[in-house]
Formats: sequence, structure tokens, C-alpha cells
Amino acid sequence: MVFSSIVFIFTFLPVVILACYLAPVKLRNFVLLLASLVFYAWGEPVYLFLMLYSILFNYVMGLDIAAKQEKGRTGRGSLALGVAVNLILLGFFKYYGFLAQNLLQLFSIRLPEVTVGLPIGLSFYTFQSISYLADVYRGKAGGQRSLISFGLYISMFPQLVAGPIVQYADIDAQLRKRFTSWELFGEGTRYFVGGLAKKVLLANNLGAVFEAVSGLSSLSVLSAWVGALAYAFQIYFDFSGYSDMAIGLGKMFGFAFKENFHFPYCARSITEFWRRWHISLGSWFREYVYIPMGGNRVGVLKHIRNLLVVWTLTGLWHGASWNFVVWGFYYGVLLIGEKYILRKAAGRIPVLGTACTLLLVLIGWVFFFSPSLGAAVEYLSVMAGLGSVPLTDDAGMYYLLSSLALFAISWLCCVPQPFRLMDRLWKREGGKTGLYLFYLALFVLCTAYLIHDTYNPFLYFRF
Amino acid sequence: MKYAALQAAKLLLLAVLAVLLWGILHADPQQADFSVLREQAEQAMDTTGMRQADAQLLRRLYGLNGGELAGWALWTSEDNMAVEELLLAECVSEAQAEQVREALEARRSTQIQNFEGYGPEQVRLLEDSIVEVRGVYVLFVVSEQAREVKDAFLSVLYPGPAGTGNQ
Repeated sequence: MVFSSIVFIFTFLPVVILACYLAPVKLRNFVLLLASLVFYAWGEPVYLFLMLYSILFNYVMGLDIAAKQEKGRTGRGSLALGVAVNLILLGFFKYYGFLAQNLLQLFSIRLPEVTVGLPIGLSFYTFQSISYLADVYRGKAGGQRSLISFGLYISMFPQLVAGPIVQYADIDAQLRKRFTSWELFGEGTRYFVGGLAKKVLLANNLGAVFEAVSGLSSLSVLSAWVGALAYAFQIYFDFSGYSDMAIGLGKMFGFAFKENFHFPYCARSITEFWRRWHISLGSWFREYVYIPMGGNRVGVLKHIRNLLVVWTLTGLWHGASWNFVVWGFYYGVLLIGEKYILRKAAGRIPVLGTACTLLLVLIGWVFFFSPSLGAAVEYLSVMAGLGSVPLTDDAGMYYLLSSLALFAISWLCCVPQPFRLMDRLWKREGGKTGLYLFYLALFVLCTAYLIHDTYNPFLYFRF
Repeated sequence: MKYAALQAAKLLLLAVLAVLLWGILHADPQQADFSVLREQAEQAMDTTGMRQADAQLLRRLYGLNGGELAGWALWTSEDNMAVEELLLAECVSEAQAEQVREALEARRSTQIQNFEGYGPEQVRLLEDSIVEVRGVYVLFVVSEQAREVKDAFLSVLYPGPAGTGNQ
């Protein structure tokens, strides 16, 4: 089930809200856990077993680490075992096919074929599980004794399939006690409708432009740039829209999830871009990989190694393909360049910094959306006008002119000014009514789109 | 939970994991309806410019006797310069499936030798071709859509929620 679907908005969500608010406070975690399992099983009942296993295993391992520490031991062995099992599950279901394919091609080693798909949300809930074990080990949180509360942390439907990745220490207290109010519920609704609009009104339409350009038999420089731009906007509104909906749903049920996107396309450097894009993933890698490896408190060579390892892993996390590995490595190299070569120049001329960052991010997205490395290089060479590629063509002009308004609105929604204005209005007594009407109109428009439009993909689901 | 109970639960869960992974790695293919297998594989491939071959061609190309197989279907290219092929076979035993595999590997090698030196595109297709044996079912496909045909083949033999694992 996806958030931007009629069945979720008009059946599942109202029922869960009603059940949750009617249930006694003590039973609310149980109600939400049950709802989350139904939500997950709706799409893939087979993989519900895997998730239940993950919940049970990590629950036991968390208690095991805590028990060992109570006995005066470190619990390091249990942590290592817990992390290893989580990585084995992730590796088996997500990377086995990739590994088998490469072993066959490179060394003619044939592994048995695995005939299972990638369970939805596996990358997200595995990282949450590792976060839990690490936080218990470090003493940042106690071992969760309630299986229901722990199960809810792993499976909570608002952030189950596409994040944000919630670190256990950030939510531990909220699992025990949280605050709900009509104000918070209203704010949550506002977030949800805003995210829904980003997804349905912007991302889906931008996705249609990108699909149309990708389907062209030959590309000009112009059409390649229109396609790349459409994808850059699409992936942002798709993913940040989903995150906004998740944050909004969390607020409705009393949870405070951290912001996952903060106007990334306004960043003045790549470093700043990654502080604003998929913040929860960046924080996870910083907390559980980069800092344990020594972070930047090591010599230059080790620091470079740490950055390359973290960014290659970040790329690999997005998918089992060399494209993603190269994409992650590309950012590692850019960040190293920024930190050691362009340290003083980065951010000195804000507009230039933003333009350069956007260009580099756009190049990165080509690796992200291309089916293979060869296709990515070919697409980039068309964008650069290498070879005998025409500068413009009829198709390129058509898609540019027909998408100009969409691109303009998209850019407006990428910068903070309109949102600041809305925040100011939200705080003003008279402005609230206007905003209610605005969000109501957005909601009606989204519903109309959802009823009539069949093109409704979610890019980050496959990660 | 008491410490001893925790340790027992941990061991039990590790055993469950081992069984789960072993089970997935060694899952036997389901008994499939050959007509469904054939239909799915043919749908996944563009057969324009190809024709269905008879038992005589099966014997000539692969040295196989169609009458000894439980079921088979062969598509070959009409153009002599094209190398696209699709062979699906249901054997009577796994030993026979192994013999069919050897015949297919031999055919592939011969074809690569035939086109080496002057048909780089054909050689690429042949090198990327797929020979897949699952239980008594065998697939040989030389096509730009080889991967899709293989996925269709596996999705019939292992009807799961999301098809094959290379995602």
C-alpha cells in the first residue's frame, strides 16, 4: 500500500486514526503495531515473516547485549552477531543476485540462483535494527523490554517502506510516552497534504516528462538536459514528498520524526547538499560507520579512506548495481575535493556555489537513473554535446516548452521562501483560514489526480 | 527474560535463519505446466523474424530427439545471419536435463566459432545467451531479451511475490 492511494487515504488511515484514538493510551502501541503489520502485509504478505523474524531477533539481541552489560561484560560479541545477522539478511535479499552475476562474469564462479525479490523496506528497517543494537551497546538507550514497543519501532507504517530512518535513541522515549493534541494532529495533516501534493501533483507529472524523454529514439543536447532536469525534480519531490507524509503521519500519532530534506537544491556546496538531502541516511552513516571508523579525527589518508568507504557504501545502499556504487564513489571524490582542495572557495560566491552544486548533482542523477554504466556515460556525452549530437530538436523544444510552467513551479517549491511565507501565515490568526482553504484545495486536487491518473510510481520503494 | 532463556532464544532464532536461507538456496522448482512455461517465455521475447522449428531442425541443431523429451518448443531465426534462438525443454529426468544442457553448450560454442571474426554483434548475443537448467526444465535463449525470458521462465517455476532475485 502506498500513501498516495485512495485505499490508504480514505480507508486505512481513517480506520487506524479512529482505532488509535479510541483505544486506551496503554494499548495504542499495540494498535499501531497491528496496523503497521497489516499495512506491510497488504503488498507482500510473504515477507511479513521476514520482518517478524527481524523484530524477534533484534529484540532478543538487544536484551542480550543489555543482560551481558549488567553482568559486567561489554556485549561486543552480541553486538557483532546482531549486526552480522542483519547484514546477512540485507546482503542475501538485496545483493545476492548482484554478487552472483559478478562472480559469474568475472571469475566464472556459479552460485545457486536465488528466486526471491527484494522485500519492501528491508534496507530501512535493517538500518533501524542496527541503530537499536548499537544504541543499546553504547548505553544511549536501554534494551527495550516490551516486544510490542520494539515491534512498533521496526515496523511503524509511516516510515516503514521509505524512511526516514529513525535512530532508536531518538524515539525510545516516545515509544514509552508521547503527547498528542489537535494542534499537533492539524500540523501533521498539513505536512501530509503538502507531501501528497509534492508527490501527486509534481513528482508524477515530472516523472511523465522524464519517461517521455527517456522513450525518445534519439536525444539532442536539449532533450537530454530536459530529461535530467525533470528527473532531478521528480526524485526530490517523490522522496521528500514521501518523507513529509511520513513526518505528518507521525505527528498525527504523537511521534516527532526529524526532518529528512531541507531545500537540498539551494545548497552552495556538495557538503551542504548532503546535509540537506536524505538527512536521516547521512546521519545514520555518520553515526554508525564514519565516526566508528575515526571520522575526520585521523590523518589525511585515513580520512580520505573513511570518506570513500562511507560514500561507496551509501551508493551501494541505494541498490545492487555498479551504477549506484559509482554514484556513491563520485560523491566521495567530490567531497574529498571540496574538503581538501576547494575548502576556502566553496560557498564564497553563493550563487556560483549553488549553480556548480546543481550541475554536479544533475550529473550524479544520470548515474542514478541510467540502466547501466555504459548508458550513463552515453547520456552524459549527449548532455555535453560530444560527437555528432544535435544541439536541439523538435522533441526537445516540445518537452521544454510544455514543461516550462511545471519546472517553474517545481523550482518555487525547491526554495524556502514560499514555505516561510506559509509558516508565517500559519502562525497568524487570520492567515490560518486561508491556509486551511489552500490545503483543502490541494487535497481535493490530489484526490482528483489519484482517481484519474494511473501513473503513480514511488522511486524510493525499490531501495 | 532470564539470561538462560535469552541464550536459548538466540540459538533458536539463528537456527531458524539457517533453515530459512538454506531453504531458499535449495528450493526445488515447482511442477510446471509446460504450455504455461512456453507461453510466458514466448511472451517475454520479441519473436519477429523467427519461426517455430520442427523435430528435424531440433535434431540437426542440437542432436536431440524430440520424441524422447516430455515437451519442447524451439524458435529459430529466419535469417541465416541472425543468431536469435529460444529452446524450452521438459525432460523426463534430471540426468536427461543434464544431457540437454551439454547439447546446448555445444551448440552455443559452435555458433560462437561460426560468427567469430566477422559478426561481433552476433558473438555478443551468443556470449550473453542464457542456458538455465532447473530440475527437469531447460531453457536456452539467444536474444536481446534473454534476461527477461529467463525471469519469465523462473517466475513460472518459482511462483513468488516478486520474481527473480537480481534486483
